[in-house]
Amino acid sequence: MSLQQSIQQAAQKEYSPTAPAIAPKNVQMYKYDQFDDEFITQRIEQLRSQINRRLAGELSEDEFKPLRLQNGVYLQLHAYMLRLAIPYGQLNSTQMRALAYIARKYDKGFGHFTTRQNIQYNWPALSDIPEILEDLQKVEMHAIQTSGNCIRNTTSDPFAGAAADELTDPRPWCEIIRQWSTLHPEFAFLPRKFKIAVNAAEQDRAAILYHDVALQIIENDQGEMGFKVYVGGGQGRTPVIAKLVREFLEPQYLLSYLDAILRTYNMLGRRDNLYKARIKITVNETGVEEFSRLVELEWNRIKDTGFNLPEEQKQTIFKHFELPEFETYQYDAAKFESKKTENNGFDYFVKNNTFAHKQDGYTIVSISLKPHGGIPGDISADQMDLVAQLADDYSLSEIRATHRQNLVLPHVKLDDLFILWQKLTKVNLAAGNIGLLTDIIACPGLDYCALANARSIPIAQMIAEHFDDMKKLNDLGDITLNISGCINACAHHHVANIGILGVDKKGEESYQVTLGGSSRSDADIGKIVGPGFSGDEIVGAIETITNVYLAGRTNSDETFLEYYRRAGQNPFKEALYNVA
Amino acid sequence: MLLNKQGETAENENIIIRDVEGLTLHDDQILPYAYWLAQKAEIKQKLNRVAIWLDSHDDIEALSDDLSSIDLIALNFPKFGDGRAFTMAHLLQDKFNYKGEIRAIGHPIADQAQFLFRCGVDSIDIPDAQDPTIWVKEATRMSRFYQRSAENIAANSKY
Amino acid sequence: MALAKQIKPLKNPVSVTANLLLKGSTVYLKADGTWSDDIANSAIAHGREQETALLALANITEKTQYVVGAYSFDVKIIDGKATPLGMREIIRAKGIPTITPDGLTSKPEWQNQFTKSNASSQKI
Repeated sequence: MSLQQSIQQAAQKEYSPTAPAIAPKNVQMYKYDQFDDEFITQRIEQLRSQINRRLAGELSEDEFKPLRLQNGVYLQLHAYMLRLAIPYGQLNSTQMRALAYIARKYDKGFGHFTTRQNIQYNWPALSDIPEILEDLQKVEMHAIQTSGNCIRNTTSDPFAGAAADELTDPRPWCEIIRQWSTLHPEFAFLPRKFKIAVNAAEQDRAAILYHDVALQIIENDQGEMGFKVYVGGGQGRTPVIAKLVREFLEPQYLLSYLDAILRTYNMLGRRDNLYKARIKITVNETGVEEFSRLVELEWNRIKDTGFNLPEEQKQTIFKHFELPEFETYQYDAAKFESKKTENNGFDYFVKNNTFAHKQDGYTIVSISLKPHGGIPGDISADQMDLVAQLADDYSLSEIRATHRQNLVLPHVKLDDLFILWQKLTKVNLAAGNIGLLTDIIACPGLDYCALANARSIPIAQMIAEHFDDMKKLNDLGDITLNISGCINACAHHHVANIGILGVDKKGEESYQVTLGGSSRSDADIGKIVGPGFSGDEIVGAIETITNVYLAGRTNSDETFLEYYRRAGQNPFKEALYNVA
Repeated sequence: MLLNKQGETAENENIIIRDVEGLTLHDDQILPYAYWLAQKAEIKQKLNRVAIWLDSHDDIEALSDDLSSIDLIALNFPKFGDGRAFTMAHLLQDKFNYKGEIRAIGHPIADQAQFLFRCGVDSIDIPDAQDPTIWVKEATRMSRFYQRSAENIAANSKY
Repeated sequence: MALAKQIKPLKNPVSVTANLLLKGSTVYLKADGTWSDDIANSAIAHGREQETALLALANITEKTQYVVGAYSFDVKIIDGKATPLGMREIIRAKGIPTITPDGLTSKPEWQNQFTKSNASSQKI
């Protein structure tokens, strides 16, 4: 039986948006009301008329481009690309089946999960896009503001609402931000794109400090919840860690405070130079004290008269995210342990791909989209259907997308974990490499992207093929490796422990290596280790880098990043370039 | 041709003055901001109706003391992607409580019309050679909004 | 003319490419002003003057909303036909990525360019 057939057999049901939707049961997520539905209808009608005006010559490409981008439509090397919004990375099984349906009907049978917890399709025709959006509307999804110089999809912890280490569930706040930012009339033509991220856990799994605005939910000394606000983080050609502008923002003022930040940026942000237009440059050039003074000044003007979400509406949104009803049961620990002993693969899977759940007897399961030899973030329509089925069977119909281009089943009973792993194994989705060297973030690169200078995907594949020994990977432990195909840094190479940047060197693809980046709470920007490597040399260079670490670490408890911070670049330079 | 927030069009009676050399003042002129700053007293004295235009980089804060003597403020779009006029319109009506007419001029596109009205703009000077019917349509394109707008259309706004 | 002197002469012959406005797919300008999805059919310009003429020809159909984003790119002539120079245009001309999404089973030819065996850690 081929892989294809196996997946098809495994997927018991197939979803079609033209047939009545299989309503997922009790998924704790925001559900559209009539208002939201009518809003989407009007927005699709607007895009349809814009496309018609473009085809009739009433809109020039210059005018049309920002309009299509604000609906997620890019023009890439081979075709248009459509990026759909997955608000803060949350999906239900029905939505996943709709994504599979779209992949088959309008695309070439697959999709690509991005570092912004979104999904993109590589082959739609411009003329099909309104129809795709209508299909999406049936499952309460859209593509609004997934590109363009506006407020983008708010990202967050993919384990939100499930993680044992979270202070509170950040998703309702993300939803409030999503609604506030959707077609905000004042902020649709900003100097440049604007990204907001929210985290409420101890661990930062959303790289929030590399966002234009980072909101860390904290508790003050009085036990009240609020936001610690950072501004001006970003990657691209100038990576910057966001700077603290407010220690504690009372939650009822969230929207007026964001209005004040955006208004200040809209007026001050540079419009003379595309590469200096992000808020990180505005904050650097203005100075963080002065920028924050201006924000506070504006906020003090509007905090009581401007728009803050009324308490009643806030409660309505929060109700959508009430915890699901978990089962209380005694899980069979002995059986679980014996399965781990019997199956090496399961043991690695448990060790690397699961995370502590807030409910006893449950766990959070990551599905790696970096299978051996696969394309980071890519998933076939059949696999999407299967993940949907597994979510229905084992995760209360819920799925998450992560900023590391993986998927998550957030509510899995420990008793079900082994059978879930077995089912994933059959369709090549059981790679137990989450957080390991081969859990690579890679952008589409020159294989698809009109901006890229070099390919990313083949490099990711070669590295994954070279490091295919699970024992060695586990010995190397916690390492992030990210590969971007150009300086725009879509794959976050600056913030990886090992970053690879593809550049064009006199017409040839060349790969520059940075070391020491981190996207977690100990955020750091990687530094270039030396001259770049050709495609032929890059795998060897990564092998050398890992060997330097293995030889130099105090013991296996010292992670790659810890070793690098202690030893610096010199040992790596010596080994890579033969210099003393 | 002018467009208002109800999606109605009207003839534009105003002339935007970009070059002030040898200018004779008339009530129908929209004067450059710098010129007005330099000649405030004379303009106030000579004209029954004062109208000025600001470019997107002009400092709107410096206007605040004189707003009561200005009947129309036009906000220029040097190019449609320069979105400062949206915030300038907001500040005029929300921060400075400006009661006169706010107009968008220069190079906005029809797809921005409703956003402009929602930020407090009263009229848009439709660029020449553009089909006004498209502007009329876009002025009232959406009837559902997640934010309360300048006009606070409570019936259509989610909150 | 002083202005003409500042324009560098072309290093290679060029062809003109664009994407179809409606479909988005890659197309190449033919000598008669129509477009082909096969680069082998593309018109070839030698020198700036011919390049300008080809771009002007492309502009005619761009103005009728048939194609979008026309530009010229370097080609090499093999058997009288244009073939792309540079990885970006090689990938575009193929119409698919160098790694197929079905990467688990198929190994496209280009992969031979990168081999594990010669992945030396030394920079030469």
